[in-house]
Amino acid sequence: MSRPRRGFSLVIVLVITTALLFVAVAFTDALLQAARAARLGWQGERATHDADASLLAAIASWDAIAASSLRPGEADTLPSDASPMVERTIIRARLSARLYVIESSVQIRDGGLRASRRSVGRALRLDWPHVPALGALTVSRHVAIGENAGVLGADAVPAGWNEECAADARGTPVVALTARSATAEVTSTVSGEGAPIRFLSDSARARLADDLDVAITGLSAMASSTTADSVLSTNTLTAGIPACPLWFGDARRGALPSPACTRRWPIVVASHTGTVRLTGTIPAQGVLVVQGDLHVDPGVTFAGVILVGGRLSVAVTAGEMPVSLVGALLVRDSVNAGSSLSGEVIVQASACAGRFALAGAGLPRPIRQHGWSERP
Amino acid sequence: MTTRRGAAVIELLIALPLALLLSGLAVQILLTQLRATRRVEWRVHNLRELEHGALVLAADVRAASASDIEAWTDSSVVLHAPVLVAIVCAAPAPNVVDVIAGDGMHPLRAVQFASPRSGDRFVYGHTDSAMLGAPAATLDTASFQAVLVAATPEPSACALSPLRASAGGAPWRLTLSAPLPVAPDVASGVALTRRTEWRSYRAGDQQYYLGRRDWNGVNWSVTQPVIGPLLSNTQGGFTVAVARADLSPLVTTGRDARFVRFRFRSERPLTVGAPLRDSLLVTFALRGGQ
Repeated sequence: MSRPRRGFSLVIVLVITTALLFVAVAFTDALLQAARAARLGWQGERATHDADASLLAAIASWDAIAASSLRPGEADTLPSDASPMVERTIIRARLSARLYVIESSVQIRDGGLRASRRSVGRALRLDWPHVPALGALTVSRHVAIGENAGVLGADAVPAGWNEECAADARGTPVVALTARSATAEVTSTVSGEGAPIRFLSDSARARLADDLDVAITGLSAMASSTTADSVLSTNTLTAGIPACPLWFGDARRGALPSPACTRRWPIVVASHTGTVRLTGTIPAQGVLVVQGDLHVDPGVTFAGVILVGGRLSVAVTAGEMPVSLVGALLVRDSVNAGSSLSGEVIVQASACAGRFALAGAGLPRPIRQHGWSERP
Repeated sequence: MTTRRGAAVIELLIALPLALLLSGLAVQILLTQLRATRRVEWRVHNLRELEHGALVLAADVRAASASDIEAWTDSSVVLHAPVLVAIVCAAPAPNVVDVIAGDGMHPLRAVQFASPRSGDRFVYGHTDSAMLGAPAATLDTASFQAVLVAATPEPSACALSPLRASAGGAPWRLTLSAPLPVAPDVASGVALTRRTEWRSYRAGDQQYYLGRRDWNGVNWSVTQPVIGPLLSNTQGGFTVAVARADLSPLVTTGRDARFVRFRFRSERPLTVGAPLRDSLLVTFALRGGQ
């Protein structure tokens, strides 16, 4: 009968195995930590670049109508690609008529956990077709301004627009009237601090005419609606609820008009080759491009930019409601028929009204100098 | 009575050398593993250290434009690091600007890396004075700078700004050393940057460290170590290369710069074996031209 063998190899093996186990655990832990640190670093970079790319994609797919409906200080969330592993949030905020900030936040998920989040912001400035407004009224040909008509060059803020114009009231006096000295007949109020009237040389007039052609073409290409109608009424309403003016936005502010109407800044192109009549009593806002002549009826109030390819005529007789055009009014008058304003007509310069109207045709451009920021 | 035969001696004579051999092998394996573990731990530590340096450096460099790189050598760089990115809400005096520095979860909140202080550089873009706005391309070609002399939280500022409610934080009133040549537009963005130097220096323990110091308008601050120890300057512990768009390193002025590249190299002597060397290379595209 053999006796039980009392060896100690097992003890040694157990000790060695335990030591190796400790080493393996420490080694694995170090490796896991290193891998996690590397993964976090990599995902942080990935999130940063994803946020930057999402931001650029959002800029590339800019919706000018939605963007122009924001008021300064307001923000909206832009659509972005969804993915189970990557959560993207793009917020756009408006600072002024022309300036926006857009921020893209990206969160990378790692196995269901929130691994890395990065935010990238960019400041944007809208670029729109250059409108060569040299003053409240810019005319490249003959113009006659009759008694009681006023062309006011001091920058104004339309009634009730104070808050949204906080960043866009220039305060800088602008030239009130631009025309050829030999053909301008001014018998009434033409005011503007500094140089109320700026007359152009022949070469400057030709350059202005060219610039006006470019502006009319550029804005026509970005029209939100084009019509061959010969009458555009600001009183014509849409069928939906709320009923907004059909052609333009509502320039009134306060409790009465629906915000859905006051946030519209359409660009309307009237392609009628004859005379287009602008009529109605609901104050309108936006951009109006008339390729032919424009006649403005009494009672019209318009805030924004009006470009006329032909001639302009406004005639208000005694007892009729006055006409108020706030923003910038430019007349090309390609056939040199001569424009006229008579009666209770006020053409008032307003950088704010003009800029907000043109924002509907604006495309965003990132501001180069310090226009980029990152939040870790 | 059973006769006991002495087999134990022979067993012991065989088992003991075998056990010694096995123990020796095990200890050798253990020591090797320990050394390997130590090397891995140091490598992880080194890489974390280098990555930490790169992250801190990135906060200074990532938003920089070409004009923010002021000077550089092989082992140092002086740049204007961002302190605050904010939005102008008013300019109550020719040398005073109120800015919104919000802190809410909103894009209008300012990006603040440090509290503004005297000596910081105030940077703003070309003002848009044309009635209906100048073409954007003409506005991006110039920027203005001024020196900050005081920055104070000013709760009463920006009260009329529609941006105030969205930002949610207290505005800052920035007082500049001289009247601005052109007033910044309300709602336009401004940046405060601080002259900052990154360099490799030799500390009291004779080791080389990567340090950062900044300028308060009069003096440089004491250099604070960020990471280290690194290899010496002659061994390329911290190297700076500034390159043009074609990655050519022949850049003579900051304006030409499009990329800036940093390399960190560290060495840690080990008790056994070759010293452990690690390096990290990071390249940043400067944002001036974008």
